[in-house]
Amino acid sequence: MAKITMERHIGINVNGDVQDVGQWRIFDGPTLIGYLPYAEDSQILPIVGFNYDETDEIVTQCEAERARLGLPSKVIAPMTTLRDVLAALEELKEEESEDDSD
Amino acid sequence: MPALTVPDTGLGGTLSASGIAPTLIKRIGAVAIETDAVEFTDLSHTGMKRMRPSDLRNNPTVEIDFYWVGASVPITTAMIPTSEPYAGVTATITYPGAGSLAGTVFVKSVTFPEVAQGQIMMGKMVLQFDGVGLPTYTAA
Repeated sequence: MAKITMERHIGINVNGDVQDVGQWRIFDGPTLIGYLPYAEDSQILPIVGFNYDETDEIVTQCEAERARLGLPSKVIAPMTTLRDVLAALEELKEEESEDDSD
Repeated sequence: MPALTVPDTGLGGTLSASGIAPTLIKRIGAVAIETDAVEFTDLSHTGMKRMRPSDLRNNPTVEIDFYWVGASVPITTAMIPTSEPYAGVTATITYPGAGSLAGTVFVKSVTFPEVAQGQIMMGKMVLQFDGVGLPTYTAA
């Protein structure tokens, strides 16, 4: 079960000043799993570690987080392309391990 | 004695940018933050030329190499460079276990693949930091 929290993406810019990047960092527990731009109706930008099996739950919890912060709550699920890529890589690994065992 | 630390590889690195990040990325190039050097040598100087940094930094670019696989639609029209007015897109490079670098960018170029037998088709994209959303580093 995902345990989503969001925090503003704050960093240090090339001038050495604190800068807000304009997006949330999305964490599942302690793990960074993606980004969400501040703009309304934004789409989650997943990174490696995003659990696509829990996409609906993550979207729901991101919307709850935005609502808690008093922001328009609609959040769009990430594209599944990265998921497809990761699935293809898993299949490839399995095929390779089968080949090795032959 | 300090703890032994094993450096990370690029495995698991990610480029995030709404609508313009290609899939199946093979390599995210290095981002160089740099400025030009301006010479101000005069006749009294000896030994070596005198240099100072220029007033403004150069805007970095980042090269992205990606597999050109039709099934995953390697590029969209949003990824084709345009001279029309645009709103910069925030691009974030997440370094595995080592924070992230973000800034606003536009697509400077997209290179379609070379086609040859026995050779994987690769596309190339160059993102140009536009200097509006300054490159910003966030620790992991």
